[in-house]
Amino acid sequence: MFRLIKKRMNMTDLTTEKALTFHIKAECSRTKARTSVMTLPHAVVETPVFMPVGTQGTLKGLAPQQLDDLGCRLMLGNTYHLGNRPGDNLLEEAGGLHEFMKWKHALLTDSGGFQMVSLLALAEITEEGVKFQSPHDKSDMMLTPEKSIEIQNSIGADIIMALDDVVHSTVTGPRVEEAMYRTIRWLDRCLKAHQKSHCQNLFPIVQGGLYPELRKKCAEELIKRDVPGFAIGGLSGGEEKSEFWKMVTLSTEILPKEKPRYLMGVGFALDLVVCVALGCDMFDCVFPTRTARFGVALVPTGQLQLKNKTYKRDFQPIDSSCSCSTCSRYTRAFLHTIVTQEPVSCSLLTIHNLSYHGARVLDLCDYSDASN
Amino acid sequence: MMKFVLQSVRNGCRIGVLSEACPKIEMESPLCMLYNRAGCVPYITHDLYEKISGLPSVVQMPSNLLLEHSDTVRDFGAGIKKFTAMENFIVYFHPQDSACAVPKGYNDSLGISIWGQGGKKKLNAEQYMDVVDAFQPDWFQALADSDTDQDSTKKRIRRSVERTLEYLDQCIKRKEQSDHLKNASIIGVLEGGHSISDRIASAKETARRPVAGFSIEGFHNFGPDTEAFKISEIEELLRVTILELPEDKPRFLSGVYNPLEIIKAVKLGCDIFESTYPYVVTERGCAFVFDLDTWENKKPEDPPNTASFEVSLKNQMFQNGFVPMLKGCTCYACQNFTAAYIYHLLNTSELLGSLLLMIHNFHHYFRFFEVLRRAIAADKIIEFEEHFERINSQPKEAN
Repeated sequence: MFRLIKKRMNMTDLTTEKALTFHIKAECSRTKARTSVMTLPHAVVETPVFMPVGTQGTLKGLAPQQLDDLGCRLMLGNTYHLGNRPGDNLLEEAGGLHEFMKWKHALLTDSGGFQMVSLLALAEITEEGVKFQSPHDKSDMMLTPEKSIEIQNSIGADIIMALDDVVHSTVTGPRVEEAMYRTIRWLDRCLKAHQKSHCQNLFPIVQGGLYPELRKKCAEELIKRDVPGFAIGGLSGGEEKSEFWKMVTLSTEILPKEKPRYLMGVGFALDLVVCVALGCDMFDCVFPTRTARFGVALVPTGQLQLKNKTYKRDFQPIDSSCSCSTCSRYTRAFLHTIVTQEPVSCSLLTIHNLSYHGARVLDLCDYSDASN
Repeated sequence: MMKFVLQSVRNGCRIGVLSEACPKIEMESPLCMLYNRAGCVPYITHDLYEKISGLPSVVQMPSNLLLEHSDTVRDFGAGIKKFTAMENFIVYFHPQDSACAVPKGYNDSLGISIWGQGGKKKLNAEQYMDVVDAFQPDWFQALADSDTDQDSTKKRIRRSVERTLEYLDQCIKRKEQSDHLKNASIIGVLEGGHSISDRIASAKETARRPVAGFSIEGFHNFGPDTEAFKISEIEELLRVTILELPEDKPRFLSGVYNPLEIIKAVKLGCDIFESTYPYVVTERGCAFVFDLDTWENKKPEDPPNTASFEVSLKNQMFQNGFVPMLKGCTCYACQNFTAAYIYHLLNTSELLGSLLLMIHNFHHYFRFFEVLRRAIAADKIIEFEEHFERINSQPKEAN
């Protein structure tokens, strides 16, 4: 699929004290795909990498050891949720999220802005920040770029995100341009507020909706700032695929090669393949873990809704080519008896779905002949 | 085939060795079995079993959530152990789940009522044995009518005794005819409600049958509320029952029993128990905290370490408890995570919270049985019992 050419590593970079180093191991001769090694304070991560989402300081139904056994070295936490419960003060007291949840590898937190806008009915974007009603006591609150960074500093993730003015990808008109410029202004405020650049890497986010000239302008501005990596946001919200890919490739054309590119909220297996080819290195999506809770297992041919009577007497494993602990022990028929009924089924399917996703990403790193 | 050898009796407590040929396993009794729901250990996947020290070799599989899948298991053709990936365990299959209350008054001449996800099923002995035949467990309880309690009429009690014996004979006959169950061990059920004479009759008659062990039931209708049930209330009933039983066959006592009640039952001659109690405690967000380490060195007048067998991790006092749930506990949860984290998980309804509590509670309960066996062997069972009496009699705080 990809024809990768190995690069020579620059040995001096290995001795740096930066919070993030990024070495490209091999680059595809025909696409923008590359495999790299990203060194973070808590882990060495091979990219392309899919990051599972542990929203509230846990990956649903799995102990950290199990995630470790699956080969996961970088996972997400959500600032909005963690800021509410257990709260940034408590996390600070606990010594950070790593210590609280006993995750010894790397963490990435988002800024809290996206959840705020999508979850809260009365969130209002102002120049100052995101104004909203506290979900607990309905009092007026404000998430500013400074506050977002402060919370993320307390959480202590290896990679943190700048607060961006994110608009849904299907929004059109002047709002998109306004959001794009505000994102840049908020980035500068985030950079100023960031207290821990020696151990936490702040990534800005390219916005601009589906307008090529806005995306271009945004990316060009962001690369003027001294940051260790970049994210591409505001996509995978239901827009046309052709538009989606155009915006991704446009961004990766401008973003520097030698820094990691994180495509937020992506995604399904096919999207991963395409976006790796377009030059992205990092991905996150709730889909594999969320769908496990509803009894859905991911397979090369699509999905199995294991609740379905079709599987009542299906004595194969979920995927006979999968080597995860679920597939090596259980049949579809057995899983059919427990999905959505016994909580342990959620863990069993999560293990499979993450293993599946991880294997897909590994496939993308394989050497392949030009003829394939 | 199950084999039980009684090694000694001290203060009424039996020390025995229970063994099984295939898989080749030997266990000391008194012991407890590993509770399963729908063929799974609650919350805990296979790869985490090694995290629970003292994991029992026997898994108890109540039929309630499995009956509706018996056709599937039959078609699978290799038995319930392979179906549920439990081949390394001894599997004990039995009709009722003691963690779930069984509604009264639903057994009749057509069969015994068992409640699953799809509602009530009624099984007679033939139908039950069809399921047992498909499941191919190592041990299984005969179908029984245990629907009696302290309020039952004489008529109801007598019915349950007679029907249970009829079912036992039918089950034994079916077992002898079945290729799959040639080496399985059948456990006879002792009934009699709260009537001394009926208890004696049931025990005498059952002991005449070729069973591998006995399960004593019919005191109540199971369920989490039976946690409050006192063995002292049925002491005489248990005594007269056990007098009729041979010493070389184990006695199962099913139910949700805390350590104090377990000790009392062991002193009366019971050998095998369930681990439904840790499950019930986990479901309410609580963790065991009863002391198993310093009781030997305490004087009678010393207060116990805790005022209760458990604490609720949902209590806000744990919100910034950056210490293990139980100091000194060697379980995976306490060695790695703080009470504050588990509080957070429960507060946000995260599955990992129940998972960690379940590991802790199983670990602690299985340790209790280990300490129990040592206490019996060292002739310290009275002190051990007093230790739990002291915890029990402490004034309780609101949880």
